[in-house]
Amino acid sequence: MKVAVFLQQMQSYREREIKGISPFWLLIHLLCCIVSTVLGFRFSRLLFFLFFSTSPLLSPHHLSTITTTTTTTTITTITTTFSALASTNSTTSSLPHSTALNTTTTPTITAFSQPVTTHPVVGRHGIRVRPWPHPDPVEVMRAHQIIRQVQLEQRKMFSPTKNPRPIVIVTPTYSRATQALHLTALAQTLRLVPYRVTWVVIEAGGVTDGTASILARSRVPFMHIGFDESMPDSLEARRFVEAKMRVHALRLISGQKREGIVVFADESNIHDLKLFDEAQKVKSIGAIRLSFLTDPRNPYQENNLQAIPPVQGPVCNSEGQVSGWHTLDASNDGFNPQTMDWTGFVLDLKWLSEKDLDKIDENLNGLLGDNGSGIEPLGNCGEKVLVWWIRAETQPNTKFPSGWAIENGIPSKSETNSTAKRR
Amino acid sequence: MDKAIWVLLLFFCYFLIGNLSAQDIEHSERAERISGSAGDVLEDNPVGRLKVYVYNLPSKYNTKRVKKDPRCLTHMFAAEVFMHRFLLKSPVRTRNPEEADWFFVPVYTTCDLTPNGLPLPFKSPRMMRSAIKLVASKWHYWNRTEGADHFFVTPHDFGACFHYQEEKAIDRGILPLLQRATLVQTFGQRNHVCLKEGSITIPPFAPPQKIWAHIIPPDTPRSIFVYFRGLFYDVGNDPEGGYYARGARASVWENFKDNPLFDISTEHPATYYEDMQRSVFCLCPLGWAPWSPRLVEAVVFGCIPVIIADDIVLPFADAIPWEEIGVFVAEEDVPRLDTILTSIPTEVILRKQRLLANPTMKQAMLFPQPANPGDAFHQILNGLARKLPHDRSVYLKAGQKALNWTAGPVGDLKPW
Repeated sequence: MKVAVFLQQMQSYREREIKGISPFWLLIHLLCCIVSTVLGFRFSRLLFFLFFSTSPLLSPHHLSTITTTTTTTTITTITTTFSALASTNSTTSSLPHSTALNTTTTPTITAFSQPVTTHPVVGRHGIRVRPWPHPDPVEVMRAHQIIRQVQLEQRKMFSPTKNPRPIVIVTPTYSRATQALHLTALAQTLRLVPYRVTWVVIEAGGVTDGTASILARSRVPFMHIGFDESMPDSLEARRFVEAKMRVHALRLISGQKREGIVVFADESNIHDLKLFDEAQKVKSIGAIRLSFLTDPRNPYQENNLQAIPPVQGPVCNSEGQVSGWHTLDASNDGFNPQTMDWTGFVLDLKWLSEKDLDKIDENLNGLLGDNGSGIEPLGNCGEKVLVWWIRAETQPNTKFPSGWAIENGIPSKSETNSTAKRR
Repeated sequence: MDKAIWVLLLFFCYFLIGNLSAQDIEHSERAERISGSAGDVLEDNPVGRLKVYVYNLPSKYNTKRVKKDPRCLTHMFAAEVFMHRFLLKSPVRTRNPEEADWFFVPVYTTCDLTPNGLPLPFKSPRMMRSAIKLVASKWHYWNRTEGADHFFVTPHDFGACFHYQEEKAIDRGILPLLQRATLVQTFGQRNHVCLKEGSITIPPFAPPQKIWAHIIPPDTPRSIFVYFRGLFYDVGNDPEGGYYARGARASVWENFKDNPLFDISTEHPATYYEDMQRSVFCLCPLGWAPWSPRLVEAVVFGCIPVIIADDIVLPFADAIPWEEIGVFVAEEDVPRLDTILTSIPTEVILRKQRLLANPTMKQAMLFPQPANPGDAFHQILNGLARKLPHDRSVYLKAGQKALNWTAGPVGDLKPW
């Protein structure tokens, strides 16, 4: 193949009118061929172009062929300059000067019969790589800002309301071993809520420093209220006191006549962020689906191999109106305010401020009414569980470390009792 | 008393209109109206504006080819088949050729597929020639204008040049017999032999059912900055690189393979459509031909298309203002692609997304069966309607000949 081209070029050189050049160029060409075979690409044409870029002998079509030499990524810088030069040349000229020169080209290069305007040339092009093909940190930050703006816009477009109302979260708590664990987790959840949040934390037994420090670290706007009664030990009694604490908080909140939504978030529950989106839809009082995970060996589901978790939430008919209730006590599936858990309900502040708070007792009676009429079903009629009730508590008398200081390294097994200091 | 009734009626009307416009305002905040250089024409209804006569060619030109290879219905050149089927059932169709404004010749030239599913264009010129000969001999409408009021769908890589390699396609040029006809094709590049003036550029076929089956909730936050899946080097046909995509795709890979903002690879993930819906920008670089179905997918999924193809002519360019919707990057600027994309102001990006969210935009890119108003079929008819009425020069005088029936490579003149 190369021999054939060589012979062809020898012929064309003979046809040229300028004499005396041929042997010299033959030699050069031979040298270039050898170098090409060593290097692996068409070296001769590059040199030709380098030496004769301003020569009138070379037709513009010859120049355009140079742009399409094969390149690898290592020499792309050379190719780009050539292509820039060649493109400027090709725009100014039209047809080749002498037909004899046409035969020096090999058939794989450009079709020059098209009108030469600034349009992409067919054939092989260089692969342009910039000298430092790595991300620029300023641009990465800018891209992240763009993504954030796009996501904000998306949220604005698809949020259920155009004017989201601020949310007031009511959380009863008391100082104990697992308090830091629960409160921190809830704080992290609340930081992700895309609306304005005020976190009202009522502490049984009065305000304590431990709770205050956890809240201060949370970076959520909070209101820390003390409640005089201390938390009893038994579970039943605890629920009772929690309810009283919530009512106390409601009294304080509803005194301020503002727009807002009240969400009851217990510290040990897991909340889906959609809960807060759904809460924006509430006009008076809304119910969401609440559930908790049970032991598969639960006696309630003796017949099922796979335990269906007990659920509290509304059941709707085909028109989307409430037609029944699930309650957490699976054996008694009717509407009974005494078995309902507070955390399954969401209130509107304006509606709350019109209610008589003295009538609300710990069993949600004053809020829910007798048969649950007027309660709005939220979350696509309670289709998805938005709150999981996790009562992960330790024994009431568990000792808890409210802070560790390890001064002399992690203690080995033998030293555990003595070196670790507890504050 | 009468005056009071009129006043009441007026108030009632104001009330109604007030309600309606409030809804419109809400809808328009999410999407913006699109109007291109031809005006606000995406929602035009072509029915009543033109009449199309569909020639009844023997089935060896159309239906038999599909029966032989049903893959012709799902590949990206399937527009020719579906356009024929749409026109047969459309109200613009007329069975009286004397009153027709446009004549459609249904010949499926891209239905000769290799075992891999790629169309072989080698027999297409002969097939087209044979179809035109039949039309010219059996009806007199072709000879009346030498094809100037006929239109053909030629969705192959380089349109009516009938070749997949650009150099060979340029050498062949557009089939001489189609010199006066209107071509409806996917290929579009300015100052190129294979794009005739007056052609209508259409999007490549993308199966609408498959697309709609993968829609995710639109409030899923877009977290990928730039997304691309496809080849960067075509190792089979261009092992040295630099030929495929004029080196642009290889340049994208070499510059941005280490960039965390660019989610680019050659994989074929099952979540391709879902990932596009989670991206802000989708790259649509040229391949062997400048057009690609990625543009259609990007538009439907709301991802801003980044078009890297010099001088490309995009589908329905007079109806859709592509500069306002997509980002155009010259092939020589590819190494600076990250700088270009991150320096676009946020308001511009949000506006482009609003334009893309317009449902008429998404409909205009698809070929659904059965046809929906505003889809690509209707945009083609709108384009044809905008070319009416025909110029006087279209009708040839008796004895006047404009086409050269023996032009072209010798191989094309053989019968099919």
